[in-house]
Amino acid sequence: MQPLHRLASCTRRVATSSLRHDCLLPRAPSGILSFSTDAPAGGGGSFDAAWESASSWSTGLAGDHFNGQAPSEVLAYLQDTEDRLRELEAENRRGKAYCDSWKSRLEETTVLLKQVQEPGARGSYLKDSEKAEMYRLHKKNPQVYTVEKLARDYRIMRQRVHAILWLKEIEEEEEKRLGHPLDDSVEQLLDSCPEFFNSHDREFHVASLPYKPDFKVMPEGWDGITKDVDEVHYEISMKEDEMLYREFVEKMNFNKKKMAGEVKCHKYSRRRPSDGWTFTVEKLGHQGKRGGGGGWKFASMPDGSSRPLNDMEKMYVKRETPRRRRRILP
Amino acid sequence: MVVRIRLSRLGCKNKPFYRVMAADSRSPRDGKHLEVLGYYNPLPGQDGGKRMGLNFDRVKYWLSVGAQPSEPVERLLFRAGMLPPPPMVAMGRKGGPRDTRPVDALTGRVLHQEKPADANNTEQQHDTPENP
Repeated sequence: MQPLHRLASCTRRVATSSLRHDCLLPRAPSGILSFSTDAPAGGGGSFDAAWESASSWSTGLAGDHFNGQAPSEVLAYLQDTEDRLRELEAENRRGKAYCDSWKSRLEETTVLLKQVQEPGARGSYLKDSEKAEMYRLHKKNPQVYTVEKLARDYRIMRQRVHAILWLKEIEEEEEKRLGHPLDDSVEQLLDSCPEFFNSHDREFHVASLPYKPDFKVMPEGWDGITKDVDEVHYEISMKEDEMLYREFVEKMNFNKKKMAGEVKCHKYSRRRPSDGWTFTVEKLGHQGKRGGGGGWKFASMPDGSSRPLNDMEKMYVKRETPRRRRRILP
Repeated sequence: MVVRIRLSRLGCKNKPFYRVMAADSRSPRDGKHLEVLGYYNPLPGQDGGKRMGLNFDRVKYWLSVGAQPSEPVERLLFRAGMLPPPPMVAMGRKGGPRDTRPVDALTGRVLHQEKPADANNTEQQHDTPENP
């Protein structure tokens, strides 16, 4: 039933189209006749003129669109506008960078003011990440990154560089021994917010001198010049810094040995050895004199033999030699 | 009568420090003396050893003219290399072997190591028969 229904609808469509064609056919001859009768005279001329003559249509770039200006001028104007916009954007970026830099500028102002108030102060907090970087650099290349170079690069004193390297070494050994990293939450907190810590770090040593007027009576005809007060102060500061540094290194070396267990601090650890005591014998008298540290010294073993002092005993001798100097105030 | 080289006690209470003196045997221990020849600190230092000093030239002079060193000074002079070793005592320690367990240098506590203690004990026992 359905296919027959579809065939019926198709036949209907075909019938309608055929009917339309039949309606068109009778009109066609009358149209053709009218066209052919008029064609030789007017139709032919219009047809030829349409192809050969210039077009009456206007192009897209007409004068009306640009307000009577030439296209090249308009393009130049657009280019100028773009250039000006780009310059404006660059100026905006520069201005924004300048405004953003005020934060760091204020921080630098804080540092500089602190250095003005406290000569020799570092003015800012040395972060733990920087300490780790120092230790990594020194461990990688000890000849290039010496203590002096690290002190100058990070603007701290040499004593502090020694202490930082030793601390990081101890931390590394502790981590290796425990097997897991240490808790560094406090260091991270201080790194993220260094303002919490009112640091008094020193960059270089400045001697505190009790200034007093020292007038001199120069001889007749003297034409020399006196040193500047600041220059004298600088020289004294450098000398004191060297003394402090040397003493710090010696004490730190001794403390390293003490932590290693080579120093008998407790009296229970100073018992008599099984084979007897070892004596450090000093030769007194004018013939045994050796420099300012007393006479020549040697070690006497329990069996009566003697031997020279080793490095440890030399360090003890140096420690026990009294060496007086003026007290250096911070 | 005779000049003796002996020790005069200095320092403070329970913390002695001796000087080696040449003095007449009739003078007091810390009193009149002829010459100071050196020092001797019986308390060990931080390295576990003792300190002493001697004026070798003067000691040799006094010995050459007949000064008699006391027994402690004789031992000191032996350690300094100026006299032969004193005669050895035949009897060992009265209280038995000493406590030779190793001690921590910083805190003074005994290190818990059984083998070294046993080794020390065996060494001590081995040393004891050698004395007689």
